[in-house]
Amino acid sequence: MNTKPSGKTTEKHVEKHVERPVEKKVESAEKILDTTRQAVPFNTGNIPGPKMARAVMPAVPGKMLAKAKRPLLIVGSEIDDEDVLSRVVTLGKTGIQIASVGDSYKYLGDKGLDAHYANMHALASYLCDPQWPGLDGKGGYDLVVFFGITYYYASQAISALKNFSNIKVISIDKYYHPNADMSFGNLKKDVFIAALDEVIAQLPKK
Amino acid sequence: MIVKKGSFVIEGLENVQINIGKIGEEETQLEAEGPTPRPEVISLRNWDYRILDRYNPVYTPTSDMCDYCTYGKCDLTGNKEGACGIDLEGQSARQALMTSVMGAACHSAHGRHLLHYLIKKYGKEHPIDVGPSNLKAPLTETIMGIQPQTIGDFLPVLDYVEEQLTQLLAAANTGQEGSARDFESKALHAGMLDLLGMEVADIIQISCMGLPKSDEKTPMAEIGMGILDSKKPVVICVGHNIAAPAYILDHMDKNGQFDKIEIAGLCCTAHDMTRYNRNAKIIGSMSKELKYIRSGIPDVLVTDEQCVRADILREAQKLHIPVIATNEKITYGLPDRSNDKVDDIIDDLVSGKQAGVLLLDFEKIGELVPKLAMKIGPIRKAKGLTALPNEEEFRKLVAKCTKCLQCTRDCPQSLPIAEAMVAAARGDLTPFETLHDKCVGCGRCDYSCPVDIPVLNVIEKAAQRVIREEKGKVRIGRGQIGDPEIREEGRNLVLGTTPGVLAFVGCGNYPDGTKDVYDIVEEMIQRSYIIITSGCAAMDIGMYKDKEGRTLYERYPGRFIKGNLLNTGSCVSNAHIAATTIKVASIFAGRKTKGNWEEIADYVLNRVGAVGIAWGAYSQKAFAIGTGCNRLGIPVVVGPHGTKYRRAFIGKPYRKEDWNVLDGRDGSVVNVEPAPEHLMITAETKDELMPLLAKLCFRPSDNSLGRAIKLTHYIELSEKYLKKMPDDWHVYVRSEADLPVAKREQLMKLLEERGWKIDWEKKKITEGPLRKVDVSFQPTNVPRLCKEVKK
Repeated sequence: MNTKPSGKTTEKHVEKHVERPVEKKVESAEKILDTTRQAVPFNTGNIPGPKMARAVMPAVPGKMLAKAKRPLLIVGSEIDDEDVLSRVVTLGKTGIQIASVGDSYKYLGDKGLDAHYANMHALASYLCDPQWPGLDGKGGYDLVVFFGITYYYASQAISALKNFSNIKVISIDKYYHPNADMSFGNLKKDVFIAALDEVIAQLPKK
Repeated sequence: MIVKKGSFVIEGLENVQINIGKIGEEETQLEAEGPTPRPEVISLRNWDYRILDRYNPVYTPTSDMCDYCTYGKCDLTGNKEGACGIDLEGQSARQALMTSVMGAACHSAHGRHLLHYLIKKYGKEHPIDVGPSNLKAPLTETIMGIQPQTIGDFLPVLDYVEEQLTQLLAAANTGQEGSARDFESKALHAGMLDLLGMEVADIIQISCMGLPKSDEKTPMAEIGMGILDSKKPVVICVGHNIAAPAYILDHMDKNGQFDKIEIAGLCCTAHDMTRYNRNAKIIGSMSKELKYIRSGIPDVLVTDEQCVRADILREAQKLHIPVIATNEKITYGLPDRSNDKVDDIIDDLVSGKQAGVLLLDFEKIGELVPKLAMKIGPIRKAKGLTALPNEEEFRKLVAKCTKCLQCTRDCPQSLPIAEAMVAAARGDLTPFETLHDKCVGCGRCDYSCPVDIPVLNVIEKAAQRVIREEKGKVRIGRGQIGDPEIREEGRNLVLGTTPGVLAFVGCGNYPDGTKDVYDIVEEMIQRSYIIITSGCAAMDIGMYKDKEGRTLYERYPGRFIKGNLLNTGSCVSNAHIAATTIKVASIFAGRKTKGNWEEIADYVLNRVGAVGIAWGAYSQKAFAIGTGCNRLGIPVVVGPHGTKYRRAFIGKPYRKEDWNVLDGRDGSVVNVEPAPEHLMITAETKDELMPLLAKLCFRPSDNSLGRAIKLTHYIELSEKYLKKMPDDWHVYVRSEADLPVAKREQLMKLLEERGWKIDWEKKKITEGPLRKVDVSFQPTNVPRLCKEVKK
């Protein structure tokens, strides 16, 4: 017998998936690269309030990273994918300091990057404190960019920055993060990787 | 008015009834040794401030809005003020208070229900008996300033808890408290009350119902979704309160029905059923609830209170499983049949005339449930009732998936369900079998599927092979840690030669499956940490086996010494874990307990290397327990979902002034290492968690041998799981004797590179550490505890 929970999809008229992740087959990433589509919280219920992230194209965070005086890239446990990891390394090689949260340091420790282990929750607390000397003791940060962190975990940590700090926060993850100032929409992997490449393309080579 | 002796005369009063409750006894029992017996809402505020000044509340709101009153909704984004004047920080702290109060109310109401019932059955004078302990009720003594002897002595304790919770909840009303700091102090107060309510609940059931009394060698209970013989009628009890299931077990015992009927529990009721009668079995945590019901195996569901799914009646009704609600807190709109004849009720349930009943008469419950199971079981089994699809339906369902990913977006764990559907369509069930362990069984995926695939049923159907093999063992809950065990181990804990006590507690909302808990416990127990467990975590630890087919409970004994694995019991048994630290302070260090919370908590914070881990915490109860532990000076780590509790207590190691303590000998200020660094924090993965646990076991009182042991584990766990030396390991080095012997020279070289001065001839550190080791150091955060206060 195959049953459906009563009232779940029929009686209660639950609205279903009005928005969906990008599904078009990617023939050329450059051709269809639009990271502003599907800009709805990846976890359906994660709607924080009236202020939600502006969906942006990759050039925007790329240029902001290039201009920032002291940016910080935060990456987490979801960078174990080979394609994603290689982009983290490329970003790190441009000289951007990396806060390696969760267990992500194990993927970065031998790559010759300016990477520092940090607990995401503690890091969120420190970033809200103007007196924090930073991961290297050289002062705080003017821009935080992140990707590759468990979705809901990142979302919560960023809500602290959104509400209790003045730091600009940009998500370049494959998920739309409403608590960031700017974010990509929900992206399929190939679009996500292409978007990261576009961000990297804006950065000065070292 | 309290009259201790003599007589009194009331003249001129007619038709006046004087009810005499309890005269004098409270007075004679009050033996307070500290300044705060029965602390009021602000009695311990100074202690709370000390905690909060070092461990700053960190707020991670899930909502930037407040909609508590009709002024709103108010947009508090960016810490703006709402119409009533509260800002987002204050609102977040208010939510922390309300969450703590809810959790504390839950456990205390559970205790109150049990106390009414047990006093009615056994009388107020029934003695407390928890095993070999003089300190029988450590939390009650520390908070209330009394030493209870009988279960009736707990009446004023619960009166106190209930009065305080009312005061605290009142503070959350719009137009009351406005300070985030004071909301947090109140939340800590609620957390402390929660510990007290739990202690009452478990001590009275241990004392009256024959549950194990500090028994380190309790037998094993079977656990898992695959343990029951589904050919027999099956009774499943769901929730936390043993009162009703005890009657069912007694009736089955009396009538020799354990070979005819399978009886097991879901969530903490299961623990207490096995503590009460060893024929009972455990299905698992709340995560198994919906899955097990939909399997169709249960023939009767008995609910009591807490952690019972809100849709249990709807789900059961579809499969013709009658629900017997036995507690007034969960009634589902069911008719109260408490005054009806058992046979009449059974007829209505078997015929389907009623989907369930509310039954508050325990005698009738005991008689009805086995009888009902025997009657309805064969009928249900003949019909083969299950929500799971058959093979053909399964193939059609997985083929229907459009890979829209909506289920992943609604899943609390963001599980890759569509990928598993694709694999299953190819005939590969492995991804679904993996998902089964990670799935928390919430059923949100069912709501989200646009083509009406009953996703949870599909997962369960695909995982039948692994479900059949889910057969583990759990050592039955032992209750308290006895005084003799504390005497034996207390010194090792305070000096640090036992690296720490790790308490794995809480629920099953794990970020990456139940296996993680097993893996973490296995790693830490092999490193000689003492592992104490309770509740759903205690169940999940017993679900996995080594190559020889042994669970961790079968591999490691249950005494309170290093390298042992103890199960205290159900959710309310968490009280004993917290109380163990009080026992260490009292028995090992001779600290006075009665009415002396601040001094005890100060001792625990500075000297007892105990850490709580609620890796899958989901409930308000878990938050309250954690907050109560925090007030007692015990750090707590929760899994990444714990950020949705919206408040943590995080230390700032770079702010040196936060880490000043006093030396109790003369009141001098000593700047110490950040130990423990945090009071409530999350970790993203188990690999991040393990070194964090080792780090949170550091205490300023560690002697050099203990510090070296703790440092060894901190460094090794970080190297093993994060592939790096911890950045801050040197902060915990006070002298060369603190360094692990095997790595001493190598580490001294690293210290030299950091600018420390080393006398290589004497192999001594001559310059660099924050402070020196002082074996007589008496760290305290409370000025009045210093023998002589330095000006």
